[in-house]
Order: sequence, then C-alpha cells, then structure tokens
Amino acid sequence: MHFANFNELLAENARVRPGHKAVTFEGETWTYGELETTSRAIAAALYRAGIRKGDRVAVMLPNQPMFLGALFGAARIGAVPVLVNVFYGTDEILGILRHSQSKLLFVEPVVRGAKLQGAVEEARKKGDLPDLETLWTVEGGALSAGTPAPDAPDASREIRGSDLALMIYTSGTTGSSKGVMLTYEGLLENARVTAGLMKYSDEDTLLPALPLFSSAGVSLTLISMIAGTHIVLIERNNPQIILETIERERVTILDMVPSGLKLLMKFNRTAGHDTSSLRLVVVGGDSSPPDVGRAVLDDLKCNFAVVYGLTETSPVVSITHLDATEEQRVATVGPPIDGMECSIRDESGRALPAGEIGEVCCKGLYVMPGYFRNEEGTRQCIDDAGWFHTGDLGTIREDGHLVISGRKKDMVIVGGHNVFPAEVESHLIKHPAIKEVAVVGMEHPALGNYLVAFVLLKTPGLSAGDVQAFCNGLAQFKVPQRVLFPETFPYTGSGKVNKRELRRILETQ
Amino acid sequence: MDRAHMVDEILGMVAQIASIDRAAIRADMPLMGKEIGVDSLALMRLLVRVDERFPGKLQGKDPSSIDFSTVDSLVDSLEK
Repeated sequence: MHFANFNELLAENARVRPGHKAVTFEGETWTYGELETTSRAIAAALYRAGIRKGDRVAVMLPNQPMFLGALFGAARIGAVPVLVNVFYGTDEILGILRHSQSKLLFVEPVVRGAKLQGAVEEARKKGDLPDLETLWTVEGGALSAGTPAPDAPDASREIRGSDLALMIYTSGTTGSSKGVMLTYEGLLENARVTAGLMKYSDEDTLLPALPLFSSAGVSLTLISMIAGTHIVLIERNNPQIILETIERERVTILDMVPSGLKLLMKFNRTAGHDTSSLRLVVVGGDSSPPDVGRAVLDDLKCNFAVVYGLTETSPVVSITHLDATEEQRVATVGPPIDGMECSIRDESGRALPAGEIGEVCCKGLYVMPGYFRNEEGTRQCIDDAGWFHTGDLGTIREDGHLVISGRKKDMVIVGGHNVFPAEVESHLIKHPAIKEVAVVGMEHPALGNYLVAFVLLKTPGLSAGDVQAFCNGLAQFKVPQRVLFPETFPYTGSGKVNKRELRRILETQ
Repeated sequence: MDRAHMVDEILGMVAQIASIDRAAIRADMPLMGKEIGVDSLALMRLLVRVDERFPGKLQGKDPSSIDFSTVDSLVDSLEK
C-alpha cells in the first residue's frame, strides 16, 4: 500500500489496528490508536503555538514514544521536523537551530540538562537565534505545552509526496553540519520496499538499538508503521538492557551497528539470556566484519541481513536478501533495492563495468533534493546528471551484489556516527597552544573505529586530557580517544600531512 | 606494581569514564552490565587509558584476545 505522507500512514494504522501495540518504552505501551491521538494533540499544540506548513520544528529527543508523537504531530500540520543528534555538543546544537531557522524546539532536560536550555535562552536574548520562538520540554513523557483538546486542521491533504518531510543534520567536512532534506515519497517508498524485502509484519516486534533521530531510526519507524510492527524502545544501548528486552518482549527483529552486536554476543556468552524469539538481525551503519555474520548464525541462530545506506539516500541503498547465501551475507551489502539506481564511477564520472572498483553513485526517488541552504554543498555531491556521489568506494559484482571496499572521503564511523576528521581538526586548531593538528581514524578489531589526534604544540605544556577537554563543545564520539604529541609531522610532496604514514606509525607501535 | 593496585587504578578509570561512584563498583562486575553500563566508545576510552598508564602491557597482544568482560578479566589479559 502506498501512502502520500506520514499522517496517512498513521491514520491507516489507527483505522485498521487501533488496539495493536505501536510502541513500548519502560513498561508503558501506546497502541496505534493512542499514538494517533497523541500526535493529533501535539499537532494542535503546535498549531496554537503558531507553527504552520513548511515551518521547521527541531526535535532533540532520545528514544522514547514522545519522539514519535513529535514527528507525526509536526507532520500532521505540514511542519518539517529537524532531527537533532542528542549527543551533539551545545555549540553544534545552537549552530543547527540557527541554520535550520527552527521556530520551535522539543528537548528533554534529563538528557541535555539545564545547560543547553540556559545556552538556548542566552542565545535568544543576544539575538543569535532570531527564528526560535518556543522551547518545549518533555519530562517523564509529558509535554510542557500540555495536551490541548481542540484538534488542529489536518494539513495532510495539502501535502504532496515531493514535499519536504524532515531534515537531518549530518557531520560536515568543513566543520559545520549539513542539513539533509528528505521528501515524503523518498522516505516512504524506501521504507515500503525494505519492509517487503525483510518481510516485516504486524506479528513482529522490533528493537531498534540505535537512535530514532538518525536516518536509520526514521527508516525503521516508517518500516514498522507500514507493516504494523510493534516497536520496543530502550534509552541506552547497553548489552544487558538489550538482551533483557529481547527476552521480556519476545523481540523478533534486532537492528544495530556491528561493533555493538559483537559486544552483545560476547556479553551473552556468559549472561545466557534467551534470544530464541529473534528471527532476524540487521546490521548497518558501518562495515560488517565477516565474523559478525558468522557469529549471528552460530550464536543467535537466526537470519542475518546487512544493510548499506546513507542519510542522503532516505537511507537504504542496498540490503542482503533473506534467502542470500552465507557468502553474500558476509562479503557484500546486497543488491540495490528496487527504485535505487546504482552505478560505479571513476574519477572522470565514467561508469565502470562489473567487478571494477570506483565510487558508488546513486540516483532516483530516494536521493535527497539537496542540503538545506547549501547549494555549493549540494553541487559537490550531486552531479548534473542527478547522480549522488556517496564518497564510498565499491564494486557491483556479476551477481548484482554491491561490495563496499573503502571510503573516498576522509570519514570515520565511530560507534555508528559519521565523523569527518576535518571537523575535529578545525575545532582543535582554535586552541591557542596548538600549532598544527591531524586526526586519523584507527580500527580496533573488537570495538570498531576510534579517533587519534596528532598535535604539534606552539609551546609545551598541553596534556592529552587538556586537548580532550577542549573538545567539550563537540559530541562525545568526536572527541579523540587518544592524543599524541609528535615532534613533527610526515608530509606529502604537496605539503599536506601524510595521514597514511601517521596510521602506519600507529599500527607499528 | 601488584595486581591489587592495578585493579584499583583501572576501577578508578572505569568509574570516571562511566561517571559513577567508585565505591559502587567491584572488579568482578560485568563492564557492559547495567551497574557499570559502558558502551563500545567508553570501552575504547578505557583501553586507551590503560595503554597509556601501563605502557607495554597491551603491546604485541592480539587486541581481540583481550577479555574486557570485567576489570578482573581485563587485568588477567594484561598479565598474560
């Protein structure tokens, strides 16, 4: 079934299965009927606060039912939710609020503390956030604005598939985040196709062990809504909490990043939780080492799929099928999904034949229309023919399966979050005692990637702790885990820091 | 440095990284369990700190062989 917008999707669920479980969090369950009622109330409150179609509404909430209420409530009146990473630092968040011109912010003080609220109020007083009119807090699942009785006008009939559904800010190479604009038709069709491939149904219970504010989180929400699946949310992706939740809620589908899954299985070898309800584990967000797939098949004894996607592609590009061979599941990220055109291209933009490695490029309905208020950034990644250049290197095999072999862009995935070293470098170089800095990503076989900062000092005296403390305004996952102070840097012939050599030095340590 | 001292130092690091009270945790508690609740990022930070505080202890070891289930098992891995 096709839906033109989020409101149609939720309304259909409320009509067909009003008493069916939609979302469970900390022992409390909202049915599809209750989720629709809540989103109507939030839509009414937003309308009363002056929010109209096209206005941006920033949503900075951890995994909890009110996230869905805010997402669907805003969409009901045609407002555009701007999803903000709750792990971002205060400076990053203020930058996103300013750039997105958000009129209203949903925030949970428990997660962000009063510090952010204070910083937002101060920025407003100074006139730094001229568009932000309202700040709503969500505490204990309740909204500070209350739940007004009168319904808001249903704007969903005015919403077209090509309209902007939401925006997600991703890390940027130049030190500031980029707002990815995604449309209703791109997100909903991408979710519908993926739901069909993974055979989601209203008998499934999904545990997304990843943040809902990410593109993967949005996709899983929509996939679940399309199939009528019950979503179980947890606030912290702690192995013990995940395993207890799988056992208690009889979870059938688990979705998480590979490094988290490795830790989970390691933990359960001694904890021994019952995971027999699982029928499928989906990993994505980072390259999946072959041993992860084999361990799922051996330890969890359920099906296993690997998904590849980017925020800019709504997000799924490819996914291994449920009947894929073991080799396809451990060596590839599956064939591109229906509606996603994929091509491997060389530096000059020429399409390469099967088996040759080049940049993975995508085209079609799922590709974002562009970055918000950033034409230059959009031009850099979407060419004149409409191909989105992912920055990932890969090949398409004769059997049509995509293999990701590396990254063209200098990007590191830390705990499932994209980090551009240039962003961390441009922050660190602001320190008065730092002369030059180079940040590289290193891989730990058991724990995934981490960041190492090489720092040249103007004057001695700075410690690793000082450098890490200076990253206070950045998200935790952007703080280098290790800081080294070499006497000089290796340079390339063109005078750039030779990061390959820096990595080699670390590997041989 | 004796084992008890090493365990105590690492427990101090764990408490700091996980933002919990040092007195509330023991060396036999699962690092990834609910009481301590470290995630992969925090584990990485712990290993880096351990490497800096006890130079050479992690050197030459296959990183995937390090057992970070508890502080006890981590110290066992370091002493092997």
